[in-house]
Amino acid sequence: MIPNIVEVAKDVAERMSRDVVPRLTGFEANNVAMSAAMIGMMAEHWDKAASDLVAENTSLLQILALGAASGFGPYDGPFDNPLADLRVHALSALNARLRQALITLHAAVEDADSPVARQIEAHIWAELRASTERRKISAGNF
Amino acid sequence: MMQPITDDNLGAYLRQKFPEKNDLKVEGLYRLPLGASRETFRFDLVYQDGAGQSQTEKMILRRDPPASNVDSDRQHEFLSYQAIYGHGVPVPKMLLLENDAAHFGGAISIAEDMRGFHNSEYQFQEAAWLPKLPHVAKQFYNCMGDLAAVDVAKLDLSFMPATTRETTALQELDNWVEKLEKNTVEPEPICAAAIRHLRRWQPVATKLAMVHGDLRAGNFLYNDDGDLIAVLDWEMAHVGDPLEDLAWSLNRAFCFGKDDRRGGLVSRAQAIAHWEETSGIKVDEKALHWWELFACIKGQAIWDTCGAIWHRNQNRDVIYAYASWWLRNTQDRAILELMGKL
Repeated sequence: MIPNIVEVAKDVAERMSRDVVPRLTGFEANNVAMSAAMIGMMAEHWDKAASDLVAENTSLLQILALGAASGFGPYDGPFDNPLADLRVHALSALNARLRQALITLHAAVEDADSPVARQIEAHIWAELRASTERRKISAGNF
Repeated sequence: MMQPITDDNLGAYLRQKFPEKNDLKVEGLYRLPLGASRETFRFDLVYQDGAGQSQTEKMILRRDPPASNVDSDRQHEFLSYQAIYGHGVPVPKMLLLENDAAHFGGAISIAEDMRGFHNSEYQFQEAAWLPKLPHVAKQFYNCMGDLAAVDVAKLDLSFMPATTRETTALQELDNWVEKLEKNTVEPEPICAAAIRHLRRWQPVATKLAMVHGDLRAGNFLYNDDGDLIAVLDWEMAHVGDPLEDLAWSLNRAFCFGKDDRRGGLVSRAQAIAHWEETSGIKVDEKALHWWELFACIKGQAIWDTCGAIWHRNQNRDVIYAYASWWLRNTQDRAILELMGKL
């Protein structure tokens, strides 16, 4: 779509905040201000949404494969192609399945007393830290 | 879709409730932009008193929505306000509770409206307010300490779930984990790790207190000088560990200045010092850390519930989608920080 979606969304959000919100009061002003902020968040993540999800899903698959190879639960085959469908909703659905599997693996390695468990645990925390950075929004308080 | 509340239908209802107020009418009904959990309206109650004098009373009406991000209701908040009223923590006076949803599509409560004051967490970030923030912070955390110091045996809290010093931490954890699991919008591996950590050990409260449950910048009224006038929004009040309120106020989600100042007001250390001044409690850092991590789970449960309510089409107020988008990542980052993983 032309003009560029990110630029349009940013501009619309700024105009709503600058031109519309000051003319409103109370509940309506708050609703429009939040709507403008949300359009700003969409602009921030639109361009990188698919690539972030592919990166995250690829990393999660590697960790789950390492966990399975180390004896921490079976590796579930249907998760094996992070590029099969690049639409954001499909990547998000895969991401949800992988993160659910990660929770199981994380709990298993926490309870295990071995160097490989600690290694996998370190990989998991590194990925959770990285995924939190990928998902960060500039409007966040922290 | 909630039925509208209007000057006319609210006036007709109040004429039945207050037959001694002659020629009663409602004027200037106006929805306020307060919070996500309840609808809040301001209005004037205009009438002739027994002596024929014209009177105007300023009122606040709150209504339970069809779905909310917190499990509470008008009765619980109404009774909570009544319980603490007159015990050293300033609150508005409660005037009327209507539990029958048939009148307005949801239970309502009416209270005195303490007008002419502020309650904006964002106003504190304006340049003009920066010099006043140390005073605001002292007022706020001293007041929180005052609440912790109130003897619960002197309050009528019989409508709240029972607890003990030994069990309150686990009870609260179980409550909020259940809510998170029921309403999660996607798997939460960071929360899951934090919950496992919290389940390994829980603090024993030094005492039981009335816990506000949402005591933070934005939920108290203050005047132009930064003096605290009243504490609002008691719908999550319960009996528990007073450290729970302190920890909630320290949550990174409420760092509205986008820096280390808690509540956008003051450093964590200074906040604790102010709280200790009036609570009579010396903070146990290990216990407070547990409650701060718990506060992240409670927060994420609320933010996830906001998203779930919007997604299920139970309530499409913008704030439900906004809160979920705006706060969930912040809450995850806060957990990573508290667990030493950021």
